[in-house]
Amino acid sequence: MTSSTSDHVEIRTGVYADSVTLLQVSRRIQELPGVNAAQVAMATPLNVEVLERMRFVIPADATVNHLVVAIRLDGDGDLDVVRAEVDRALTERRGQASGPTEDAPPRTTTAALRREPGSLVLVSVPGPSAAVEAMDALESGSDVMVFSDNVPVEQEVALKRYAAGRDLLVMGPDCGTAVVGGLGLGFANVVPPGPVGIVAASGTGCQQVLALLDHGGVGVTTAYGVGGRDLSAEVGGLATRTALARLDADPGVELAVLISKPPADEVAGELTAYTGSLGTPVLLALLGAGRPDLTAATEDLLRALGRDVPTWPVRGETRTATGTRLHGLFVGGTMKQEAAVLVTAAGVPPERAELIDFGDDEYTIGRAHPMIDPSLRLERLAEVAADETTGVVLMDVVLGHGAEEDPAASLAPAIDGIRPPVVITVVGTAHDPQGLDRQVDALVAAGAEVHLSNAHATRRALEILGGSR
Amino acid sequence: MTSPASEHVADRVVSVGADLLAQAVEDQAAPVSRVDWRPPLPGTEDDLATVALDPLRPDANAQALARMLAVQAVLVDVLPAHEAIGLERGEFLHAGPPITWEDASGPLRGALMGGAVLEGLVDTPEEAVALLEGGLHVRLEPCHHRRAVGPMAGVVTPSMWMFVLEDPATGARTHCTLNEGLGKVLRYGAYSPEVLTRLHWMNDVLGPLLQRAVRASEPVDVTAILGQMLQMGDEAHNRNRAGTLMFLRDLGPALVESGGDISDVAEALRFVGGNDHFFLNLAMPACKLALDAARDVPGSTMVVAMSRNGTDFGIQVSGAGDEWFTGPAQVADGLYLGDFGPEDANPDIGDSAITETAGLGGFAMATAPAIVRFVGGSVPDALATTRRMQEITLGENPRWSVPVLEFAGVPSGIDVTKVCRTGILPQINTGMAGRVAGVGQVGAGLVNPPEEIFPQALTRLAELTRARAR
Amino acid sequence: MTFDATSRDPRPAPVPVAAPPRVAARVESAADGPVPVLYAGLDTVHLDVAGGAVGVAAADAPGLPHSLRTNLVSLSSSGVPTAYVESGILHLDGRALVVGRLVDVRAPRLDTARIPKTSPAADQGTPRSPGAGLVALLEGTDVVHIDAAAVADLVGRGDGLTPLGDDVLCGWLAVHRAAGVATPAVDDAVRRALPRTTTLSATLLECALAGEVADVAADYLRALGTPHASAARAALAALGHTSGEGLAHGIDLAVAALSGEAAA
Repeated sequence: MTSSTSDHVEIRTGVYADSVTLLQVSRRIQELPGVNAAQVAMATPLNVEVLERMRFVIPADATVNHLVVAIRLDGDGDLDVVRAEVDRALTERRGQASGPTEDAPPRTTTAALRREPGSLVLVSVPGPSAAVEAMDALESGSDVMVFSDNVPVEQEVALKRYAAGRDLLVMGPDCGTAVVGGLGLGFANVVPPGPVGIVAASGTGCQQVLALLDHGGVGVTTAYGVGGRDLSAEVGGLATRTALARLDADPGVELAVLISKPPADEVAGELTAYTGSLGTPVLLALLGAGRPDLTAATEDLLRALGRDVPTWPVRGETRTATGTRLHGLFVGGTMKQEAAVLVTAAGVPPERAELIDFGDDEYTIGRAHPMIDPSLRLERLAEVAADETTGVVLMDVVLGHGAEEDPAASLAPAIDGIRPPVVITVVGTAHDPQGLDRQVDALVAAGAEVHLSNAHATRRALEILGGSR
Repeated sequence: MTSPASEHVADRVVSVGADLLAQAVEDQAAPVSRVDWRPPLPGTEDDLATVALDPLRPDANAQALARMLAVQAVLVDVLPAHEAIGLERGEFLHAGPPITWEDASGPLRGALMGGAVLEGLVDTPEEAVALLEGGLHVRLEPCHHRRAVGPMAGVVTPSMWMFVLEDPATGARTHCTLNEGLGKVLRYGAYSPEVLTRLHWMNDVLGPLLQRAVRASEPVDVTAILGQMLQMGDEAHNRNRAGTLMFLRDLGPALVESGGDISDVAEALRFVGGNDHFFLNLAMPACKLALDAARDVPGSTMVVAMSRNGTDFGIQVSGAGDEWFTGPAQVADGLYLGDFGPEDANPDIGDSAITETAGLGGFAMATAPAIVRFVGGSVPDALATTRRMQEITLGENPRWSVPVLEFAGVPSGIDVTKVCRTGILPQINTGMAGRVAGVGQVGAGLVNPPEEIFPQALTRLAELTRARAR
Repeated sequence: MTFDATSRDPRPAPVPVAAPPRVAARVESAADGPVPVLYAGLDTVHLDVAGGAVGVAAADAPGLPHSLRTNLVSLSSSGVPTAYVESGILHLDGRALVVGRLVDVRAPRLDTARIPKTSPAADQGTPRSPGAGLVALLEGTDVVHIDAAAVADLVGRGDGLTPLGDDVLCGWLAVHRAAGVATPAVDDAVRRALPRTTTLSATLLECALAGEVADVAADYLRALGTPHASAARAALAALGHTSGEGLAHGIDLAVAALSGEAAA
C-alpha cells in the first residue's frame, strides 16, 4: 500500500443482499481503475473482522443489518465514480431472477384458491364441466356463482346440498347477475350501496329491479342470484334459503325482495313459512299471470321503505302502427316473460304476437349471449321491419358490466327509418359503463320510444298496437 | 347458523371460464385471478362431475392424504426374502403390474434369468429361458402384491436380502432388496458372471452384516432422513447421495462393531459409500409404507401406486381397491450413456415411481438442481415441474419441504380427477434400461405415465360412485 | 407518465376505480380544469376537487371515505403528479379514472344494546397507552367527554394532513352515526370549525358527519363485541402516523359514553 491512499467507509441501512451477490459486487469494484481495495458486505462479525484485517475502520455501531461499503482509493481514484458503480452493481442484481420461475397460471379453481384463499369464485366454463369447478370452490370454503348453463339439475342439487350445511352459497347454475358487497358479477349494473337486499332466480329480472331502484334513489349492496331452478321441486329452494338468511342476518338490509317465477307448489308453502320466520320483511316479486309485474313490485318496495314512487322515465316518441302484429325481440329472458304475461292478459291472440328471447338456449348454441353479440336479433329485426303485418316492435337493451360496450351503436342505425314503431326498454343505471343517457339519446334520435320499465314499455306497445285496430 | 351477507363480501374473485366476465370484474377495480382452464381429457366430463359430486370424496381424500402423511418408516431389520415375505423357491417378484414371461421386456427377462441362476434353479442364464418359458415350476408376481417394491426390473428371489421397514404406530411393514449399484446390474437386466458374483457377495456378506448392524443400533428413521435429503439436493429417486451418506453415518458405528470380518466390514462400507443409489432401496419402501396406509378409502381418488414392468405402466387408486389400470409404458426422454441412443432404450420399468407417487423424485425436482441436466432439464424447468405437480395433487407434505420454494412441502397425493381435468401427467425421473436382456443401464431421463390410464381409473371410480348412490 | 395537453393522444388506458357514491358525485359535477395536488405518495394521492379532497388509492393503500380505489400496484409517478377533470372524469397523470363500482363507506349499523361496556383497549388488562402525540393532545385539552365545547379545542389540533384532534372527532362522530344517535350541537360546532383545518381533514370530517369512515374503522366497528375486536383495533391503530390511533380513541370514547347511556 502506498502512502497516498485514502479510505472511505460508509454504512447503509435498509439494504440487504446475499453474500454471493456482495462478493460479486466487491470483485467488480476492486477491478475499477484507481481502486486499491474494496469490500461491500453486510456487517456480520465475520465480515467486520475481514474488513478490519484489511485495515478499514468500521464504526462500532454497525450491525448485521447494515451494509458496509469500504473503498480504498489510490491517489488518482475518483470516489464519485466508484460509488456510482457500487450503486449500479447493487441495483442490477435485483429483479434479475424470476422470469422462468414465475408461477404459471393456475389450471383449476382449487389451485387458484390455494394462492388466493377466500376469493369468490365465478364459473363460466361449459356446462358439463361447471359443477367440477364449482365443487372446487365449495370445498375450499368459497361461495360460487355459476354463470354456466346446461348443468344437469341433479348436479345443481348435489352442489347446493353440499353448500347448505356449510354456510356457503351456490348462485346458479345459469345465474346471470349478482351483486356481492357492491361488486357486480356476470351481467351487473353499477348500483350504490343501500338498504334493499335482493334474491333473484332471474338475472334480467334482477337487473330491471336494480335499474328501477337506482332511478328511485335506492341502493342495493347485495343481490344474490340463485338460478332459475332453485325454487323447483327438485332443488327445493336450497340457495334461496341461504341467501335470504344472509340478508336477514345483515343489519344493513332493511328489506329483502325475492324475484322469481312462482315457486313449485311443493316449495311455495315452505317458502312462505320460511320468509315469515325472518326478522327482515321479505317482499315476493313472483312473475306470472294475475300477479304484479316487476315495476309494480318495485313500487311496492319503495312504498314499504317509505320512499316516494318516482315517475318512470319515458323518452322519445314513435310512429303510429300500420300492421297488426306485435314483435317482441328480447335479450333478457325475464323481460320476455313479463311482456308475454301482459300481452296475454291484454287478450292479444297468439297469432298476433311473437315474442322471442334471443338469450334462450336454442339461440345461444355456438354463439355468445345476445347481450354480447347482437347479430341474431338484428337479423330478425330487419325481417320484421320489412314485414307489412308488423304493427309494433318491442325490444330491450340491457346495460351494465359484461354487456356489449355500446349496444346503441348497432341498434340505433337498425331502427332508424324503419316503418313500424319501436318501443325499447333500456335497463341500466346512471353509472353503467355504457352511459345510460348516451344510449337512450341515441335510440331516441333513431326514432324509438324508450322506457326504463319493461312493463310500461310493453303496455305502451300494446296501446300502439290497439290504436292500429 | 348463517352469517350475514356483509361477512361474505367479495374483495377478490377467481374467474374460471369466459374472460369477458373476468374483465368485467377488473373494470370495477377489483382483483381477479384467472384460471387457465382447458377442457378435460376427452370423454371424461360426465365421470368427472359424478366423482366430483360424490359426497364421500372430499373427506375420503382428506383421510387418505392424512393417513399417508402420518406414516413414519423405520428400518427395523434386514432379512432374506424367504424369511421377510415368505418367498418360496421358484417364486419371482417383479416390478410393475402383473405380467407373463411372454409379454416381459428384455430387461425383465434378463433379470429373471439372472435370478434363476442365483437361486440355483438352473446353471446358466440360457437354461433359465426354457424354465421361465415353460412356467411350470416358476411363478411371477408383482412386488406390490407382497408388500414390497423393487427398482427397475424389481426381481426378487427367495435368497435375496431385503430391508424391512415398519411404521411403529401400526406395525405395518414393507420391504425392498439391497441396491446393487450402477452399470451392469441385475435390476437393469444384466446377468453376466460379475453381476451374479456381486449378488452372491450381497447375500453372503453384505446382508448378514447389515442385519447385525441394524439389530444392534438405534432404528434408522428413513422418513426423517428423506426430509433431510431434500434439504441437501436429493430428490430420492435419481439422486440419493446425501441419503446414502446419512445412512452410512447412522449405521457405520454398528457395522464396525458388528463382529464381522474387518475386511468384510471395510468392503461393505466401501460398497455402500461408493453407490450413490444405495438409499433408493430405503426411500422406495418408505414411500410404499406411507401409500399403503392410504389404500382402500371408499370414494378416494388418490393414486396409491404408480409402477411399470417394462411393458405396461399401471396405477392403483385408493378408492378402487387393488385393481390395476394399465397402458403401454413409454420410453423416457433424456440423456444416454456412451454411444447408446433411443433405439437401445427399453420402455419405462420399475416400482421406483412409488417415490413420485409419494411426492418425491420428479415431484421434488425443484430441490435437486444438481441432477436437472442429468435428466435433460434446466433449473427453471425443475422449479416449474414441482409447481406443476401441485396442480394434480391433494396437498403438501410438511415433513418433506423444498427450501427453494419457500419450504413448501412436496406435492403429495396424486388426484386422478385433477390429472383428467388438467391433462397434466405425473412427472417421473427415471433410469433407462437397455431393451435387450443383459445390456444394463443405457441412460436416464424424464417420463410420464400413458395418459389413458387416468380416465380408465376415473371411469371405475365413477361406476363405484353411481353404485353407492343407488 | 406526465400530462401534457399537446401530446395526449393516443390516450393511456383508463384506470377503473371504485368510488364512494358521494365522491363519484363530487367528481362528476366538477368543472373541467386542472386539479391541485394536496399530497402525493407512492400509493395514495390526495387532490383538491372543487374545494373538497378526493383521494386516489393504490390496491394495497388504506381505503378512506373520500378515496377512489384503484387496483394499481402503485401510483408511482416521477415527482408530483398532474391531475385534471374533463367531462366529469378525473384524470391522474393523463389516465382517466373511470368509476366502475360504487363502494359502501358508511359505518356499519351499531346496535346500541349490543355495544360492549368496555373497549378492547381496556379489556386487555392494562389500558392501551395512547400514542405520545395523543397524550400531549389530550393533556392540552382535558377532553374525556366530547361535546360541542370540546370541538373547538379539537378541530385542527395536531400536525400533518389530518390533525390528531380531527381524527378523534371522526371516530366519535362515526360511532354516533352508526348507532343512529343524532348529535346536532357537535355537528354544528364541527361544521363551523371546518375552515380551521386542512382541506383533507375537513373532507374527512364531513364524511364522518355523513357517517362515512375509513375501511379499517368500519371493520373495527363491525368487530366490537366480538373476539376479533382487539385485532381490528390494532389494524385501525396502524393507519397512517397517528390517524388510526386518533380514530380508535374517538371510537372508544364514543362507545364508552354510549354504553354508559345504554346502561343507564
